[in-house]
Amino acid sequence: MKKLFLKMIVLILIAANVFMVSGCWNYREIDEMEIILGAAIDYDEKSNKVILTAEYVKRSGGGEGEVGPEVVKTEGENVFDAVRNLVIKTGRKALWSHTKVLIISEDVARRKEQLISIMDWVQRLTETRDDIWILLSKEKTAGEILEMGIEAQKMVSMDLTDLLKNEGSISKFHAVPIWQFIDRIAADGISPTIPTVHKTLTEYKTMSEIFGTGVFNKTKLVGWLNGAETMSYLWVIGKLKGGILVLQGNDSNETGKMSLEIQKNRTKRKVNYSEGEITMQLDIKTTVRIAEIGGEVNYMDESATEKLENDAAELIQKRVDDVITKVQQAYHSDIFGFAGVVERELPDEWEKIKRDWDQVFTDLKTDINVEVEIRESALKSKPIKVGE
Amino acid sequence: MFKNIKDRIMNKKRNENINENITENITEHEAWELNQSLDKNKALLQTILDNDDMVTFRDFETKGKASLKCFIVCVNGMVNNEMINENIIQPVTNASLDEISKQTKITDAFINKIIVSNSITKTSDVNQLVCSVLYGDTILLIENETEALIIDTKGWGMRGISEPLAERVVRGPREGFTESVMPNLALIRKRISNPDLKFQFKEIGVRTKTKTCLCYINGLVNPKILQELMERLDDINIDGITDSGMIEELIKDAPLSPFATIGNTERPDVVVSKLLEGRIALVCDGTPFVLTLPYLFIEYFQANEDYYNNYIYGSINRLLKGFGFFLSTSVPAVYVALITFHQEMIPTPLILSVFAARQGIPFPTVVEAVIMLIAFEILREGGIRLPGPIGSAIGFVGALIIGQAAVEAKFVSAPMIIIVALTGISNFLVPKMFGPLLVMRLLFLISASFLGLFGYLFGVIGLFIHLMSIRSFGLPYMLHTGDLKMQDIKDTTIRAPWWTMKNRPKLLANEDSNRQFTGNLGKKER
Amino acid sequence: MNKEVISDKQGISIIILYMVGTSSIFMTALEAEKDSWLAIIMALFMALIVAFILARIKTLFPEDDLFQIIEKCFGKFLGKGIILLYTGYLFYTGVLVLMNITQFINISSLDETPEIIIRVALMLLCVWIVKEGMEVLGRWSEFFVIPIIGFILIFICLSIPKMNIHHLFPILSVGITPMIHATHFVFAFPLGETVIFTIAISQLSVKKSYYKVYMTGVLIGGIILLVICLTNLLVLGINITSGVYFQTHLTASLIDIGGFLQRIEAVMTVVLILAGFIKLSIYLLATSMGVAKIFGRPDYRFVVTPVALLMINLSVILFDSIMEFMKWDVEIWPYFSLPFQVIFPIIILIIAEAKKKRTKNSIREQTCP
Repeated sequence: MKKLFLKMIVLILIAANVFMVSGCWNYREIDEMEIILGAAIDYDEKSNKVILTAEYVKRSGGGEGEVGPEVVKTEGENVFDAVRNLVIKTGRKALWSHTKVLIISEDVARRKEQLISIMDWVQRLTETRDDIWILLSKEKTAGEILEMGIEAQKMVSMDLTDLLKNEGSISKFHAVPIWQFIDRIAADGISPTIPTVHKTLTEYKTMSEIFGTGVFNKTKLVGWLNGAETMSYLWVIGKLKGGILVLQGNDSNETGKMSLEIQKNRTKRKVNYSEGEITMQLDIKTTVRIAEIGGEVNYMDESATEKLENDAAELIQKRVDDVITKVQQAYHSDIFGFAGVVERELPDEWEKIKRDWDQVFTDLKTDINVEVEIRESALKSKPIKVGE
Repeated sequence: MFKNIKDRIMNKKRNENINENITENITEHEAWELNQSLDKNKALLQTILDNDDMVTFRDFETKGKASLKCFIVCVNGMVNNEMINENIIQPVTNASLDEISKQTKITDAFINKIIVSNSITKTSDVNQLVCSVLYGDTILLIENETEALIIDTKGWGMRGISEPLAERVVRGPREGFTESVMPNLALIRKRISNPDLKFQFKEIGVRTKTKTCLCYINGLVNPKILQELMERLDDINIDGITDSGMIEELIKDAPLSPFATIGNTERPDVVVSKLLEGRIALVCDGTPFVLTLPYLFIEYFQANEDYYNNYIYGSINRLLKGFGFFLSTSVPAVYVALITFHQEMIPTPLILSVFAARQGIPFPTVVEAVIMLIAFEILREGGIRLPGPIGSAIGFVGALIIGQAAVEAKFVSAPMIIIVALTGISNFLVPKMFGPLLVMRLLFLISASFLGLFGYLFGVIGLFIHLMSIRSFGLPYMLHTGDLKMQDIKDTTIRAPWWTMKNRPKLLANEDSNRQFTGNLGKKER
Repeated sequence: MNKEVISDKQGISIIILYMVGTSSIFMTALEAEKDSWLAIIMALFMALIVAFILARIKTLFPEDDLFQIIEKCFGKFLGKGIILLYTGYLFYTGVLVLMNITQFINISSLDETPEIIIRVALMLLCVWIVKEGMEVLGRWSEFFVIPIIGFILIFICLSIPKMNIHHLFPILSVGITPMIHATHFVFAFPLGETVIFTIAISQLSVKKSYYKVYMTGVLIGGIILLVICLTNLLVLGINITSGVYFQTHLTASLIDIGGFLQRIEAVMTVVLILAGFIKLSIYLLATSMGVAKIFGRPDYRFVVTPVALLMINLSVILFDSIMEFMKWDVEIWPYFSLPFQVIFPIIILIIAEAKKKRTKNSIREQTCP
């Protein structure tokens, strides 16, 4: 028993020694760090340097409650250098595990080596999480998106995150977490996209908005899609979850514009192969409900509904067709993942055409079938009647 | 044991060199026995009970021609005076021995015809006589007889049966044990009217000779465990026992472990249910706490009230207790690990508020946690000793006010107050486990401050290695604790309805495993 | 020597935890790319055959562990040599497992903590549980196997929203050679490692149930590995899966249920390390038993601490970096381990069967002349 006690005491002493001498390695007090909420990366061509703009939480100097944003800018030879330089500016270590958004500028997006080094940094570092949202700035620099938060005392990164989570009801952008972006770069059958963020000046203040898409060919930015085109893009890839479809009334004097709210969408993609030619078949089935009627026509009766459905289908088909053609002709980048469909369904054929897929994609014929179904009309059963 | 009284007295005699007759007498007879002469006996007893003013000697005689001289010895305060007067002195002084035939022994005549008492033994062993006197009996010595009578006249004052403060129930019997062994045994006995219920007395303590009683139900108890317990009790060699806690520590399996491998309770109904499960109870004189054994880890979570209330409610209570165990051990450790090591695991809004609250706090989070935990223990320990209402008032008001002030003065952060309060409150869900919980909490906290969640994890692994490795009287301590088999889960993780608990816990009772017999109520209902 | 007996259920629990251990942190069959799950299924079949062989050996000699069987089959001298080889192999594998676990902890979250500290802490616990003996190990596993499997199931359920079935297609796209390679790798580690249990789980309370314990354990463990592999593939796709070291960790970090239940990867790693701890303890136990056997000592406990210290030392000097370690682990290890996992057991089985037959015959000759 005595021996055991002696042993225990020695053990405790050793443990205590380890504790005292070595300090606590990963032990970091949260108030000794800066919580980075968002980062923006620019590239300065003249000096060949990376400019990092980081939004972090301002310390309120001992007071309770309120936390505000603070923005800091650093330069560096590459991303990691710039990140380390943050310490010089803020005086404290940065905590990257709560970073929500990463905004890159057009300059960065057009340079392969910059883009790759950013992605590598994000995935290699233990601290940064792989589900950071990535955004492309439509403004001159990416930094100014974050900087506008200081004036309004709003955390831009948080606002952007909230907005990105509501993709389903807007459908004017397609939110992409960074791991997905990297996956798309690496994958054979698909090219990545990034939603674009804008700065809007209203009378009172500047605000950030997200709509549209930056189209990449693998690692290089090749073009843009606007909000409406992005919605069509979502239709093609089958990720549409909501949004509004606006129909121009066809009886010009009787009806105004009509809004249909998309409730459900399913896009089936198939490959038809005959005599060496590949046709991509898209079967789009959309369920909508009437959200707004700008006229008197009663769409409750069957024929009118049918007509409305056909009009909507036609519109969708046209828009989808337009966007596919645009991407095919102007950008030559398979952001729809058609290659993946071909690889899955015709693996033998895929081996043959793999090499010159870019060309095949440009010439790819598409066959779009749209079916629209009107399920309900919200709270109203009849349009507003205008008295004589 | 008895020998040392004899030795002591003999030494005394030799040293003082008085009353040589007695000394001769002793040397003549090897056994320490009574003499024919009443005077010599009296002198002997007076020497043994020397300098003890509580002891009373009273001489008297019987009636009639052939009157016999007698005297009684008793200890004032431990005897019922009325009983001695009316049942011993009065009958003896009124009795006439003339009619008694010569054949019958005088002592038998006394027992059978004269003295009114339900418990009389006769002996010539002086040691036994002395011990009986000291335990509240009265001895009666009669002229020319080598045997004396021990008459049960115990009658000391004692606390009435009341509800135990430490184990209150909303529903269930409110009787609790008291400090005397006999009434305690009565409380058990009256709940089990069965001849299989056995009580075996044992005296522990070389000097105090504390009466302890082993209770078990023959046919349910595992004889091996009983045997083991007997051996361990025999091994005890201590001069005094003042509480069953001392016995517990002397015979427990893992002496260095903070966990109890022997249970204790103040409630007879708990003891009875343990006995019915095949366990053994150890009642010790002088304390209301009765030991039950073997004791498994799961019994920390089985409150008696669970069994009396609706089974759903009982099950929820039991799950809550398990959760309370987890909270009480782990909350500070996990909080420190998350805040200082794994900030990425906390949702952003939460970390922002912690960030804001931590501004300007001078201590590291670990130190903050340790300080607050110690402060909590101080408040608890301080409050517990004060009389009821004041204690709780001081405890809670003190905690509230000190907490509030500490936060405002920026000594500790507000989240830490919540953490410590949560820890403290969940502590009370498993009230018997205060000690182990305190140890575990601090160990986990320290290991978490080393390696974050992994340190905490290593702590948990270590805890379970320890729990798995200890045994209680041959039974694995963690028996049934993690089982998911339907048969075993019934009285562990949940409390199943009584009509489904058909079997006693395995391994404990191997002889008669049926708890219920055919045609029970539950079956009828279904 | 006091024989320590464990129940069937405890034996199965140990095998499951062993299989899940480190292998669910690192996916092993990535040579087969999208078809690595098929490779796991194939390897599982092979592993079941090996488990059957070993169970047969154990049933022939129910009282002995593998070392004693080797001595009986090969004689004292040759037997000692083979035991030495086995002990070296187990020791070495134990070191690899230790490195696996601590590197994972080190890289995934405690990047500034010296690895040696984590190793010492972990080894301390292993020494403790091994010294407490097989029974405690069995009870510990039995207690933790349910929560661990439960957590893994919850993890898989939570990952379902992120899954994409297209990540698996087209099936059988990589060709036969990578497939065989991948199958071999998964078999080599961990599914074919049943041989260690003929040493570690030396005594079951029911003598006949070695078939049941080994095969059920391997089967359940293999299925859990398969499901984890499928989850990772379905969520991440092959490109990311093959690009990172710790796939399950990444998959868990992507879970996000309503913005509330997210960032749970640390919980997942904690669960996996619980299983890894058992794996390491089993290696420590088996190595110690081997060393004790070589020195002819009946009880292994005296040698546990030195073996553990040697393991820590070797783990420090063995590899320079995780890159080198991974390369070795994938390219050389499977061939190194093959003789111990398959070839020796088959030889032992043949000799054992022959011996049994001979003794039976001789008994028969003696009884009925």
